Amino acid sequence: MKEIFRKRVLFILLLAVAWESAARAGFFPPLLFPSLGRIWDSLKDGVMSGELVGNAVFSLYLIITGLVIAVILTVLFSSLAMVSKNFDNFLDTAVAVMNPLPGIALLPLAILWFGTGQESIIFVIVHATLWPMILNTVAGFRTVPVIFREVGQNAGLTGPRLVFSIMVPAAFPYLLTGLKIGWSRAWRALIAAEMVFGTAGVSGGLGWFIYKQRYLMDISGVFAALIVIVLIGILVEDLFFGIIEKKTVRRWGMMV
Amino acid sequence: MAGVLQLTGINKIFDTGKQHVTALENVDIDIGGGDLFCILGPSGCGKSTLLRCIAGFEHPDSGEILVDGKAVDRPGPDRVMVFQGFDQLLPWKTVLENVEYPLKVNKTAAKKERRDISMEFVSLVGLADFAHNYPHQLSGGMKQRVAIARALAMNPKVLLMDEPFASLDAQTRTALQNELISIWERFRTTIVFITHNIQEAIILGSRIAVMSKQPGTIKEIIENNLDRPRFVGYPGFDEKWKVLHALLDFNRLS
Repeated sequence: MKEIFRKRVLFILLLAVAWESAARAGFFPPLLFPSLGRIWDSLKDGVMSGELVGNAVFSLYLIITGLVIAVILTVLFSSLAMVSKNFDNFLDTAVAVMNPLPGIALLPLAILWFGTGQESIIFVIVHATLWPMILNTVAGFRTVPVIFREVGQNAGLTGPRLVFSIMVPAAFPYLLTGLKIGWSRAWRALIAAEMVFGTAGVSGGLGWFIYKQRYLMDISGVFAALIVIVLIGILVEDLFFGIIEKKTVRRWGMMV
Repeated sequence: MAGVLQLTGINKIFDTGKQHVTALENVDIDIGGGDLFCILGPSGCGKSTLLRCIAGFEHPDSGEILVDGKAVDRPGPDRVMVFQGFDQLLPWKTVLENVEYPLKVNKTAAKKERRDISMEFVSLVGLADFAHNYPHQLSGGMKQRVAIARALAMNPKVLLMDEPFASLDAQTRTALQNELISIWERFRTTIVFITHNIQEAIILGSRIAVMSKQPGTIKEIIENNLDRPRFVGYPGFDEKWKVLHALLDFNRLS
């Protein structure tokens, strides 16, 4: 963990030096290629004025809402697939058809169905995350060794208790991978969707903020928002998922 | 005490469409309380299937399995299985938690008492120092010890052991055989022990059933009254070995 952190810091420093040199050399118009100082100022202003923070919070609110709905549906559908062979076949086909379809491609439909509110973005996020999560969950359940189930049955577990006490922890590495994929796909879908709404000018969020700053030719503001997106990504992937991994699959020796 | 486990007329056929295998044919066994009953047979003779039927993981096509007079129809904590594989412990639980878990499921005792019982059995198999380790940190022999502790803690009517020592090295196997005997002498748990190893059957079994292959039938059940501890070269050991070896008819082609 520390090792990774050191490498990351070193890389970021190198990138910063390269960036600043390029900006100062004046190869590009400063308006389109702002110096680190100007990006920093925009970041500071955005945070201080609350605009950047507010939009980030709004984006996170959308993504978490979408993910929670997707997780609930994943649990529901995957459990049904475990119980019913027919539903399993149906779900298999549904995943095969829906998974390759980028969420953002459904946005026009979503706008027609739900209007230009949050519902449409949440719909796109759910679509973007549901299928890969189902794929991983079902695969996880399928790969649970028979012996675990038999040990559970032998202890006297049956039905839903067997599923939650044995199948879920036994499939946990897959569930966690599914959630990680879900998170990264949700992030992409979200920013894209917010940008489209930026055109309509009715919504908020980081994507919308980026779109607006570009419109105002505040390019350092665009970069400030990009930095916030990267920071949130690193926080979630390295810290949130990193800690969960350390406390669960790594400790249990169950890395896939 | 007699008749803790009674099997009468057990038949089991595996029919995959292409193949038709008679795994068990007219198996009758009566196992008394406190027996250490070994089932000896070549691989593929149906001895594991028989044990899995007793455990309730498989269902015989006909016949009856009674435990303390009650018919078996599904897996349950009164018949605990110790498997051959080293992957029978739940990897997300520590050694102690693995032993405690079935007690928790069955609400066997209050929480504190459960812990104490579990710790006692973990200590019994010599793993007190590893109580808070996870299974992936243990050796194969240690894992099998934990599985035995977990099974014993449940205080089953019958302990089912499906070649639990077959994947161990010779030294560890001998050590675990000795441990199992001392545990059995202390608790007098009724044990059904599957093995394909003649020596193991003689060392452990108070009775030994020899199975033959295709169809899987009980060929003969012999009493084994040699004094314990038993080891190769001990008076009477070789004679028993010869009898069992002859019964196993290794030369028959399958």
